[in-house]
Amino acid sequence: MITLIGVSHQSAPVSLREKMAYQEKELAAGLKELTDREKITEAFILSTCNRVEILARCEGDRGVDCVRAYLQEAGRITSEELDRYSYQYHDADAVRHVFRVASGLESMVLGEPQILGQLKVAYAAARQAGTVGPVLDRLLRSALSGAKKIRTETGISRHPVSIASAAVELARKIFGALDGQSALLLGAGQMSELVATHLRSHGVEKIIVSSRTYTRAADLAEKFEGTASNWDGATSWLESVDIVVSGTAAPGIILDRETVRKAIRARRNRPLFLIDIAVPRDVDPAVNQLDNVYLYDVDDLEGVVEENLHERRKSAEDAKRYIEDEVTDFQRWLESLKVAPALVHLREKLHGVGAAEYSRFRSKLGPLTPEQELQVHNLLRSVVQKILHQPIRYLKDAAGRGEAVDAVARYQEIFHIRSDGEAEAPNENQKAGPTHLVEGGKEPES
Amino acid sequence: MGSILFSLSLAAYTVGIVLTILATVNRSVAAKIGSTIALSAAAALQLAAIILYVRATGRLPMSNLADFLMALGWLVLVGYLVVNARWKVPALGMVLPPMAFFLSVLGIVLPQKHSMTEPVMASKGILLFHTSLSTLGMAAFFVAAAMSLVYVLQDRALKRKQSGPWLRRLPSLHKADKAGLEALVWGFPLFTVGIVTGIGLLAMEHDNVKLAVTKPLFPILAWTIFAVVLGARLARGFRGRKAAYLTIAGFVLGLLTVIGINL
Repeated sequence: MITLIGVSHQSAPVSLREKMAYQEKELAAGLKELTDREKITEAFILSTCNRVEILARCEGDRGVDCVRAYLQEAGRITSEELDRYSYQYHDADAVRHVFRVASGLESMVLGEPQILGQLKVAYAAARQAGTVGPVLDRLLRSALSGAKKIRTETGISRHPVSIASAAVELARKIFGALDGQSALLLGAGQMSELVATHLRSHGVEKIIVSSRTYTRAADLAEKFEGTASNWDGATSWLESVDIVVSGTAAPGIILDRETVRKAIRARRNRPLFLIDIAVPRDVDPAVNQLDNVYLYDVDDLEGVVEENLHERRKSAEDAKRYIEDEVTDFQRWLESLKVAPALVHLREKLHGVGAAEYSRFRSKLGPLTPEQELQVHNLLRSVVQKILHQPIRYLKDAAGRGEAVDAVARYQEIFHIRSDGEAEAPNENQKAGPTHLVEGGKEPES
Repeated sequence: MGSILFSLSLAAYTVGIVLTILATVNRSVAAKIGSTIALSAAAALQLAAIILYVRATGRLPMSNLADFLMALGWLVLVGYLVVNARWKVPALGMVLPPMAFFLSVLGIVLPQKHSMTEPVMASKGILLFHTSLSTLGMAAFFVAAAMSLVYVLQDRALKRKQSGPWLRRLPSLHKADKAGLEALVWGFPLFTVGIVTGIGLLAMEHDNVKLAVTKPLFPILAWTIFAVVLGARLARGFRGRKAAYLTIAGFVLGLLTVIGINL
């Protein structure tokens, strides 16, 4: 059984999440403690600022209690808090949740890509600790590759959903790549700094900061290895920069239409992108009517963000369909694991019968050359394989339909195979025989 | 053989256009590669068909409206492949290949009449030179006009704060502007020489220089628009929406002129 217990920004307050969170150095010990418990065979821990989740493969239905007990005994959460703030998923639901988390569908910012990196780190830690076995390993690898595919196919992370990144997206619609572009910051507030950081990280080369308080401008300019400018001379930069971010606390307009018109003429019509993040606004809205000038204020940027969020929500719907396919594939694989031992035992049983019969009739065949003996062995093997073909196919199909347990039980009954996998004692005629005919290296009981 | 090649090229066009739409809508890399292969195949097949046609008829490939449209269609497709390889403007795939397809189909279905290669013309060599350069110039202006249209759409979307799945796929203003200017720079000298040789041919035909200069009023008007736009762009930094509108106007006038001459 696959079990997932967790808390996230949607279910629990930050005070509880930070209590449950694992430091990087605590992860290995936590994972070890989990798998040391009797009913937990595999374990994985994801701990980020927004979620802490424990994914475990447990033996039987009581495994979930072991995970709960571990969390309580480790002092990370009380029983009441678990009941009130945590969520629990099992089997297909747990698998679905892992895919949703990896794809960013459960993230605070829908579709954000950071979670994929965090998941990779957590997976590496679990692998290093040796606590992921075949099932969780397969699940996590599928989730990581599936999430990448979902991001590519649906484009869920493509549309920026913060004011600063929306400003960068708009700048790119005007200038293409931002490499080598320059920006002027009017005002040295936090929001201006954030937008400038985004612009800088996307290639804007030169940043000029102008503020009524020159020292603030100088401090911020130093951060970006830019240039500080006197407030009085700020507008002269309009002739040379490509982007203007205005976020002052001025009570009225500081950039009017005439000033910008003159600047555009001096720029020989090179486009100018004005980002007005001030309230009240710094830039006269009429500026947007000028050719080659593009003005966006806070409301405009929020409109862009809202529209992008809408796009992400649409992409999330597509992502859900992909996830359902992935969950079905994984469940099918998981079911196939249930029939694997039965297949091995069935092969052993039938090859055992073949070997016993050969042994019984060997003396009646008279002297055989080694080549003839080999041909007889091959004949027997081929007959057994032919007989096995249809039952094997039936078992695999049953696994695909989620009926593995019933199908295996039927086979055990028909072929007299015990539930521990051992073939039941053969009759007198099947006793003894050459073991080299037995596949899987297991000799039939004698 | 020629008609089989034309049919094959139209089939390749169709596949290429469908894949281009898929590549633009779904941003599918496989569809993008497939569309480039299919459209390149369409261009190659159409060229082979045109060569066979010229060999079979002994006529210039641009000797009447049908031939001209066929040649223009092929050049527009080649222009798209070149521009897309250089500037990576997938959105242009929604405009130019369908237009090239449309022009090529018109070239096939329109009646083959009024051949300009009649012996009335004094020099077939100059005529070939004139029609080839004019058609090449028009193909370049076709690309310039398409880029200008893309520019106008993007500019309008930015000014009006509009967005949407289709507008997102448009190239940046910078890219549309640069690619349009480059096409204009290539097209203008070709069109200029085409006009000059056209005037020369008219003068030889009518033995009247004054008539030769005044008769082709619309081509000269189109040329003047392009000359003003290009001159202002290169010398004065004239750019933006107005430059884009003027480029589109010049192209429409030029196209109407060429069609008018061939009718």
